[in-house]
Amino acid sequence: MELLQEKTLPSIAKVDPKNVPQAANNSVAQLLFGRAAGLRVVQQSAEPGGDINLAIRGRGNPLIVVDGITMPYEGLEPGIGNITRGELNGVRRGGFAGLNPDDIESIEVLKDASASIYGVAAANGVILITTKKGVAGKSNITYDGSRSVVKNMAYFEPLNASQYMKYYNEFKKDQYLKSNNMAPFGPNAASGFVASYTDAQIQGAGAGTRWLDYILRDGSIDNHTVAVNGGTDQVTYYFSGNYFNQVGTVNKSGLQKYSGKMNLSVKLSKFLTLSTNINATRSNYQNSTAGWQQGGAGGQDYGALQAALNYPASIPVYDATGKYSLTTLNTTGNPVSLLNIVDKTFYNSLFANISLDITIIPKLLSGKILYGNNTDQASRNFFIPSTTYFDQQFRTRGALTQSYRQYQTSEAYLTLKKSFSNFVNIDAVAGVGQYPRDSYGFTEEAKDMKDAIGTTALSSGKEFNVSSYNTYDKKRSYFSRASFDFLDRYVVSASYRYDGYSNFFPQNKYAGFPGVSIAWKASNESFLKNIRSIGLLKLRASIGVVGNLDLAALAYATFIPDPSVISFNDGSTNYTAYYQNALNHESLQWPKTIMKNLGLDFSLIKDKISGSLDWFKDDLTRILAYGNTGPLSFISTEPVNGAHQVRQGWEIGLNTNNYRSSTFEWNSIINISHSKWTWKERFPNTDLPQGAQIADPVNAIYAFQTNGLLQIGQTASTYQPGGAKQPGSPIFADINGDKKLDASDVVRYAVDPKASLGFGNTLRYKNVDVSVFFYAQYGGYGYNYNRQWSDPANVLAGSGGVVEEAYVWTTSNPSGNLPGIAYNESALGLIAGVDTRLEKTDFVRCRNITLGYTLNFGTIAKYVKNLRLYADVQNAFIITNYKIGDPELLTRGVKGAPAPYPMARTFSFGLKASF
Amino acid sequence: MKKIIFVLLTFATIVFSSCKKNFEPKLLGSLSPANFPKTEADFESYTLEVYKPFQAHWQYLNGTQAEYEIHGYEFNTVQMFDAPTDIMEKFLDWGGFFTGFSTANFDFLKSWGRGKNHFEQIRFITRITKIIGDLDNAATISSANKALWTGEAKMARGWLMYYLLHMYGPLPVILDPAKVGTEAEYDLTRPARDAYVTAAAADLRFAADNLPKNASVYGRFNKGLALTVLMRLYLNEKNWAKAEDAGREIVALGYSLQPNYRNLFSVSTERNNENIYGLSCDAKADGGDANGNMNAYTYYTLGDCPGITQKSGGWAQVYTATWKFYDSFDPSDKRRELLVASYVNTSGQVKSRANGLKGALMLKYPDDDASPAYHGNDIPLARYADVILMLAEAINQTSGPTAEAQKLINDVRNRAGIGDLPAVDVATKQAFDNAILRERGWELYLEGQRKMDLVRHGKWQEALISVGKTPPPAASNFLFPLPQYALDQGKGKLTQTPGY
Repeated sequence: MELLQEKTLPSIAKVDPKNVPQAANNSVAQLLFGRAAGLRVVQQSAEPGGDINLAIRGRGNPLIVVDGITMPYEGLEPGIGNITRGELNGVRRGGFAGLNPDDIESIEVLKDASASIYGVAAANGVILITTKKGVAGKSNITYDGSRSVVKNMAYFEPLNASQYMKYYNEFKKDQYLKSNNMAPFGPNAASGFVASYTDAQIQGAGAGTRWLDYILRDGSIDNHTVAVNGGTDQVTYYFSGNYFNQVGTVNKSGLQKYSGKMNLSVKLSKFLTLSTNINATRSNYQNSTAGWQQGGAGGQDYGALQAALNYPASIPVYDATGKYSLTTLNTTGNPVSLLNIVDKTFYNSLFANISLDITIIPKLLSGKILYGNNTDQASRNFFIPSTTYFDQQFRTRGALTQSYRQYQTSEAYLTLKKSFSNFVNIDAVAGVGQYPRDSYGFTEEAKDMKDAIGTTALSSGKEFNVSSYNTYDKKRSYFSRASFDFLDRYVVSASYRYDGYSNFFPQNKYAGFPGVSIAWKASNESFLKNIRSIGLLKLRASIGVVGNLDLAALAYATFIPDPSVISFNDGSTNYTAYYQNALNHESLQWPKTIMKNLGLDFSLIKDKISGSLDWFKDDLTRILAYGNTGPLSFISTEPVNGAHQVRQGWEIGLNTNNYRSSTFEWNSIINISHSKWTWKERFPNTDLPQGAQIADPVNAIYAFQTNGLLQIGQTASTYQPGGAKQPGSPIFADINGDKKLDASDVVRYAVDPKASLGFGNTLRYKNVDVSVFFYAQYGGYGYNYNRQWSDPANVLAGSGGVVEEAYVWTTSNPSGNLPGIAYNESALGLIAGVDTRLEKTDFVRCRNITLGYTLNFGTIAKYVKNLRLYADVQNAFIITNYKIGDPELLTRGVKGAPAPYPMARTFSFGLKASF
Repeated sequence: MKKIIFVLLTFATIVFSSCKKNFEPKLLGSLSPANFPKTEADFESYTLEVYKPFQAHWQYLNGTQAEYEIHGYEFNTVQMFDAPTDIMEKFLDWGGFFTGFSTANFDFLKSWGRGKNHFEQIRFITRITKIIGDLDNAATISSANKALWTGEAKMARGWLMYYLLHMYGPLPVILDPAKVGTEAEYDLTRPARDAYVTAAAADLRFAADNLPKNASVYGRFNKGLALTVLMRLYLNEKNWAKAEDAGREIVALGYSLQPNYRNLFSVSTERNNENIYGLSCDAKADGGDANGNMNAYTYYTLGDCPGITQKSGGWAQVYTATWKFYDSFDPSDKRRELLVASYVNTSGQVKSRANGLKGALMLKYPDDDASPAYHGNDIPLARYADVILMLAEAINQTSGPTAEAQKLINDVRNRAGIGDLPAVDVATKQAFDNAILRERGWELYLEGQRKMDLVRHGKWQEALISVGKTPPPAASNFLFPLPQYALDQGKGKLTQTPGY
């Protein structure tokens, strides 16, 4: 679909890529941190090409429309089969991988119901991306190149060898006292403890091995784009090529990306224009086994970075025989040897569309037919050599995986534009579209190949496993919109979509989604027109119904081959059982979200202050999700339409021109967004967490509050959990004072931040410009799983510990404020979590500091039109109270502890020239 | 040019003309109930699903939900019925359910969610009922196969019901195919114990009457297994007469004790005439559900003990014998040889009771097949020795310590290299009963029987206290608490286990 014109009515936030430093970025999503009001951007994984989550007004992933064609947001990353039992997948790939940020002309974030005209299932809002096109006239060549140095930000600080031995002794002693019921943990007198390390050993140990130094390193990024654009009356063109090379800050990680783009538009005749956009990308990713951790098997399946934190500094890299050393318990592989795991992803994408614009009646009626295709393909090569101890085995294991995905768009529509004198302007669109999606993939695994052969000949191995999948669905749509602009003051717009989805039963395949919006351009009224300080004042309101198909649910009953093989006779007779995994759900239908928006757009004092204010409310009804079935049904979950959730909030986006003279200019942008997502009605058969209320936030943590630690000699209250009455255990808070610890004492914490914020300033003096950009979030809570490393039980289980062990309560360190070894939360059997690892995820991050210099050429201006040199620091610093790790990165509570790919600071030097 | 427009418009008209055509879902990688199951082969692969909870992997997927297997490694019969008794030491290192089960403190089960307990197996019972109903209505399969496969399905259903009874007491189950997919799926009213036991017994009886002594493939359910589980069901209900009948039926099938106890658990000798039914494991298995069954016990029992060929060591000593249990053996008892009281660990240190080893290692499944990871030792689930000990117990309860009953227990003892029961143990019915309980502990440790044996003899609580564990509330009738979500779903109809 073409862009809505300025005079129509969406709630919209724009990001001009020209204003965002692009040196170190390979994904469009990286341009969006904090840049648009109402759009929250969160770095999930910091590995090269790692996932960045986009959410408009706290919703799910938005619909991405690039030059009129929908594109999947989710990254495509093949798994590695079952060879590590799902433990070491190691990658959380981001989307948008096919596009070069340098090719983007504009990005618009459409937030309210009027976005729905841009696509079927637009209930999460739409990010409209327009790529650069040529313009008729002189041709232009531009070069944009940069070199960046990437350095890790502060990461975990492991204990050195002598610190490790000291804390190990202290923890071991307390564990000994506890298990022998000795004072202060029991009635027996303390006696008989023999420390594992002597004082002499501790003093002689020194620093030991700095494992992280073997895994982490400085990285770099080289980024070069050359583009040519121009055109004649008949033909306009834009060609570009990009080379991006990132050396990751975790050893063995990196990305090389090659992309090319061609946008071509040919005027075939007076009334026919043929346009085609082609974008091709190839990316080679080197995966570090550190991009993402979700394992449940603990130390035996750690990747290199986790292993480096797990190996005590007292262990040398190599043992006396020159082999990679192993810990006594022999579970975790040697960190340096784990770097020998080969994990590479080859990613290709082709994004192409062709469209024909037809002028049927000049200046009245035109038509457009377009077809677009986004095909991604990725293959992954994973190999563990026999010299690497992993999953408690020295054994070669390998997998090759291939994933393929295709999104297609076919649309045809008519546009009518008519102006009746100055009284009314009519702008109407009606059309049809079809959007099939399909995907397939397969994995082949084998073991015991020779190291030198690896995955090049899996057939030389044994114990093969093969798996594959294939999916297909299709959406269809009939859509129309008409807007009437009376006297350039009063605008009314109405739209109606009739959307269909192939996976529902015939009677429910289609649903209608109406919407209406109105606006009053007050600034065009005669009584305001002459007030020079008001440039624009527009009030708008919209209400609409949209369908939100986040889930590709199938409404039909199916039997599938059970992935669980039925095996007899020592594994020599195996059967595949077929079982019914779904019933018919004839009533399954489109979910319905009612979106309301009130807004104000303004520009005051000669554009010195301009911006938008918006208030919104989404009512999500008959949400399509997997819900619990009746407790005796043979299927445990099924797709249902149910529940009611409300999202509500407001946002402010401001651009100010603080000072402007011929030599000096100062501009600021500020955006603040607030949204709240709560339940109004839950799904049937839902399992409410203990202490939950019906109308709680959708993303919530339920936990008991604690208040300090029990000290020696202090009597535990009667309601303190049975296993937490020892010194060093947290003191549980009885919130309601009834001397019982139950659901009524559980405290609810909202995970989503209350507010997110972006703030930037640009100063320009003559040829020099400086800009600084911050983004921030405030008011959310999360479990900081990084703190699992400081758990003393982790140290006794073989982990090397971090400097935060100094805060652990022990009988030797009774002033410590982290729970001691006698406390084991998972053994308490509590009905809710405990707040000991709960932290606020507030932060302010300085995303960019940029210094630029634009050269003016005198005589050589003939050849060089424009030349700009710049230096940029990305992720310059972060201000946060978060204790260990980065509050923005997503981590999970894995068995053992997670070691997220570290956030990095990037120093770039670049040059931009146009010829 | 007009030609181009004409072509385009025609194309557009065709593509977008109908909203109905070509808009059906594609059921890729799946079959529709309209065409499955139809053939005889279809019905066999449909019925084989009933084996799923009885395999040995880490977990299996029931639709989207991961669930533990009954004879797997976590939440399995050993953890549920051996760990919370006097024969196994506490295991606190990993916290969570390891601490809970091994200390007989089951409170944690109240807060655990779906897929983290076996309560969800009531859904699987409905699934089996559906399969039984579909087999019953199938016109295309031979009556022989219909009886055989229905027998396997009922074996699975009866066995699940037996285990659930000993976890939670009688639970609501759907046994009538006509009720599948109806409102009955929301009714969590607990049935009366008698009705529940009668239904389970009927399933097992049907299985015993329709399954062959030797299954077509080693590892599929057989007649002896059905009778053994039926016998356990009756014995635990203290229906001594029916237990005795079932036991005599098994005896008539011609099983016999193997001369060497150790060989029962070794790969090379695991198939023998004492092994009525074993979970057949594959040395190549890796715990993933795409592969065969694994025996991973060495990982749970060895810790830093190198075992025989377990070069990589185990994870931890999760399941260890209490020293009290170890000491209760006659030193010449060959069954004690599978308990390791002293060993040289992977770092070269000697570990024993003297320097703090918390209990004897249970190397009941020797890692002697040189498999690089998990092992292929079959896991016996029905053994003739267990049957004759049960038979002796049933006979004693009805007729006292008869010569026949004494011989049954002495056969088991003699095979272990120890002599007949001394006179004091056969003097009275009660003394003999106590001797049987003791003997069952020595014979069947790490086979998932102990808690039921102790409870049946009314000695579970005192046994726990004897090894420093605190028994759960007496009112609980020795059962696990139900998960809170189940009570919520039950809307008042499902009653919590008393005492919790």
